Amino acid sequence: MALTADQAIDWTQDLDVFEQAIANTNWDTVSGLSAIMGGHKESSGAQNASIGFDVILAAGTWSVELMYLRNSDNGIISVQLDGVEQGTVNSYSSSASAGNRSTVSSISVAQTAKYRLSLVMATKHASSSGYTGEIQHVQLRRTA
Amino acid sequence: MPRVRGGRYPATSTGRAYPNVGGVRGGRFPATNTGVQFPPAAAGGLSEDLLDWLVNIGVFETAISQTNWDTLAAQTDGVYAFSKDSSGAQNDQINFDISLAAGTWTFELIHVQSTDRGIYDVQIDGSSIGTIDGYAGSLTRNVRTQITSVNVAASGKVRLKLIASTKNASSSSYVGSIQHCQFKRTT
Repeated sequence: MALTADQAIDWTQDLDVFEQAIANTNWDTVSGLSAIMGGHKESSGAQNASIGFDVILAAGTWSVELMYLRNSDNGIISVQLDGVEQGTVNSYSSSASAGNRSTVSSISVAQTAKYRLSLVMATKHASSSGYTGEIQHVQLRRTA
Repeated sequence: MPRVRGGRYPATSTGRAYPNVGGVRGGRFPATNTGVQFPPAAAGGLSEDLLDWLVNIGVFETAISQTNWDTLAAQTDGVYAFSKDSSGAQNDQINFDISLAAGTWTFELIHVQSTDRGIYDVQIDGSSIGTIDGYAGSLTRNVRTQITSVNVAASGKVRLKLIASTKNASSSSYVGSIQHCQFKRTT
């Protein structure tokens, strides 16, 4: 019996971020951290630093949850699938904190296929002094 | 040649050829997949390209099999906060069963190097794909080492093994110390 996408493609997909990503631009510095996951991966602070992961998504509706650090020099994370922005996460805060969780939801995936999930530090909050991105973990969840 | 009508890999199929079927390109039955669903991509089913391109292997749970490689050690400033260490005996090993699609993969190990670490022979189904030297002159966490251009001929379950069979001439022992494993498919 051949399997369908609903049967075979995971509805929850965890992305461990510490290994070298399939693609990155100025986003590959790994450091230990006394927080959940025990570390984070940090970008250089340059605008448009990015990191990419190849994932298989079934047609449906998905959410992407980022676990990340907030800081005074952090930027706004653009969450993209195959180069199309699905939402943003503002990682700026005047004080540093780890283990923050934000979800980009209602992502419509029209076709079951391989996609490149990219996080791009394209913009920043007006009060932020930089475009740094610092992630601890990524999870994709299919909701429908 | 085994008759190919879908179902399960026949027990006698190891290494034998199968033809094109249902629009799926023929190939060879893998060595260890007896009992696994076949075909890999029947007409109307999923193609191999829809199998995972990123395979994460958390190492802290009990492995599917291991020899003297099951001790969790806290690692301050280490990603995941811990490592899984072996006893230091030569040929300690740890194994994981994973599914890989046919294609070219990169294996990456995050590990803790130190003066008493061994060299890890990384094997898929008993064949070495490369070695990773755990030795360093000082304790170094979060070391990331890749083995690239790992060719997987047929989609299916494989057994990943790390075995500390040798050591750097400067190392005092064969200890294995790993934090995480990952496979990334590149083609």
